[in-house]
Amino acid sequence: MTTKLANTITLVCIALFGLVYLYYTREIAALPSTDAIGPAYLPAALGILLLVFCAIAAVREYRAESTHLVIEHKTEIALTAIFTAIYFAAWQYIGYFYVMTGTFFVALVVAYTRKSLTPRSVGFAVLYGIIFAVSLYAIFGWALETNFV
Amino acid sequence: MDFFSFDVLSLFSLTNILAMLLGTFVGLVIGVLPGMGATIAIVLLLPLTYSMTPLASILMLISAYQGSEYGGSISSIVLGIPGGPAAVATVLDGNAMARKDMAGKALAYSLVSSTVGGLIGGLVLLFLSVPLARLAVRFSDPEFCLIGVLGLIAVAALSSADGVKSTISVLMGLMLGTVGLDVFTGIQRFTFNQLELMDGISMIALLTGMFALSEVFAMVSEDLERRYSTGKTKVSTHLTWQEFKNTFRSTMLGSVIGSVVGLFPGMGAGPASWFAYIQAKRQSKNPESFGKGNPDGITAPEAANNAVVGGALVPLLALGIPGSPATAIVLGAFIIHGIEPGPNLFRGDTDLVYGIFYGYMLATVLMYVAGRLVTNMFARSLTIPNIYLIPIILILSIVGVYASQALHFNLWFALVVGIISFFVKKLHYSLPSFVLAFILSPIIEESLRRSLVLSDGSYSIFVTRPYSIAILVVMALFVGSAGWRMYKDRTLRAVSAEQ
Repeated sequence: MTTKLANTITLVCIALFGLVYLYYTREIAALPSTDAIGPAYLPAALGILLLVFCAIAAVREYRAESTHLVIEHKTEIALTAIFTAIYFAAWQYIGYFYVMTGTFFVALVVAYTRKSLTPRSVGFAVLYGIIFAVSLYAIFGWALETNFV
Repeated sequence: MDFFSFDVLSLFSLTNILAMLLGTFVGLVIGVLPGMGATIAIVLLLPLTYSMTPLASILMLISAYQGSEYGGSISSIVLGIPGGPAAVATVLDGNAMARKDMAGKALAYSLVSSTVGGLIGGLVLLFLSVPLARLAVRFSDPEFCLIGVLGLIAVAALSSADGVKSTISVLMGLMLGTVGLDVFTGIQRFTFNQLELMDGISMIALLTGMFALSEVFAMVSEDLERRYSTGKTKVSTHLTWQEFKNTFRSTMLGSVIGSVVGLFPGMGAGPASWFAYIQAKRQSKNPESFGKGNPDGITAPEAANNAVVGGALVPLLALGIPGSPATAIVLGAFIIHGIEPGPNLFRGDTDLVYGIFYGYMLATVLMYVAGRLVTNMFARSLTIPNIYLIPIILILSIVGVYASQALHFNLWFALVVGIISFFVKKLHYSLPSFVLAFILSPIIEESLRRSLVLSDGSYSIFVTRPYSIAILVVMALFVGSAGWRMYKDRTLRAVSAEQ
């Protein structure tokens, strides 16, 4: 992907965010207010300014030179994000924080080393996962009495 | 002066000392790791602050801030890879000295100058905060509104090379800062009837996503297979009196530059260490030896990046306005304990304020002691493979977000913010500008609306009060200097293009 394309996509997303923000600002403006400018004044001004600056940035981007945007280890980044989402969902809907955390730790280490995976490296990942989860329990669960429901 | 009547011995409680030691330890470890800095060290410690007294928790975070600034120099010197942006200048002479088999001496220069810088920053904090807070007591809503806007201008002008993207970041931060119940009318704004958004977006979730999770993704992308190796020989971080005397001038120069730069929002330790390095080189009798292992090339930037910490705490404590992401998280710790930093804190809770002042000094001394004792061990922590380090940092960051409000919603929010931040950082959008705008948004809006209530809707209230006019003049100077800098850059570019 080129920086020009990435910048254009980002600007479109930001402009869309600005439009949605302005749309909901209209709802606030319709409600009664007691002070001089009301709760919709600043949001409306910010929304309009954002769209103006997006337009300026788009013009600059159109004139700018494009370079290649390098993002290495895309698969590992995607796996980190996906595993984190699964971990959150499992923790939220199933519970067992420390078990889920240990499993998440092992899953990430295995994902990062999957190209050179051996039974020994998996064993180490599991061992470190257990040590990490137990340490977390000792600090947060036992010493600080934090409840991770 | 009031601060001389503070009972310093009260600082030496077991809780305070343990908190400072823990903060220093975590700060050193995180600072040592290439690419990680003070913000992440403070984020990781934040969940522990819930069960601590306000003073102990603030001192722990300040110790981590100090420790990570020194820790950054260890990887700069030993590996030639800076621990963070603040330690980049140290690589030049620090690593050159290490390659001459003088790594221990280079670390000693770094440790001593970091300590002196920290202490000078502490003095600035001590002597500048109280007068600034006394002045701020006389401020009313128009002045606070203008100070907020001044902070935004400073940040947008200084924190990124791309002014338009910086401004977009500021606007986005201000917009997200408007989410939640309107304090004047109780009207819901952009909450989509979600209970989790009624109090606004969680600052801790936002900061963690933006600085910790995005950094985790960056580590996965850039440093996944990296395993640093250090020398096996034990190094001694001892400096003789003569060596200290020889570098005293550059150490003081760096300390003064760092303290002053720290006062300005958006600048921070990175630019401060470069300013100090350049000035030390300019004033040196042997400028040609810089980059080849000149001790002044280590002491000036290292003193500067630690002195920044004291300077950066001045606007936070005296005005309640943080100048950097790291101080924004320290502000989060204040909020967790229901304390609002600013001029009223100096009237209401002087023990806490002076405790922070003197505790900061003590934390600096502890950093020196810890540095002397365990620098070797921290240099070894560079050998932890990133495949294990990444999950540890990710999970500890997540724990911090959850512990702040016990809301799963915040975890999802932090993840989304982390992914977005990873990408927009590559496109040079300014995350510090975004965060400071987010924090300043409610301050600016509430003081603007209260000012207009006071003036019956007339904007003349901002230009008819002496303090407001003074702030407007400072604002004009800032805009003028930023404009002048842009003009100079453009002229230089045009000249070099012609050549």
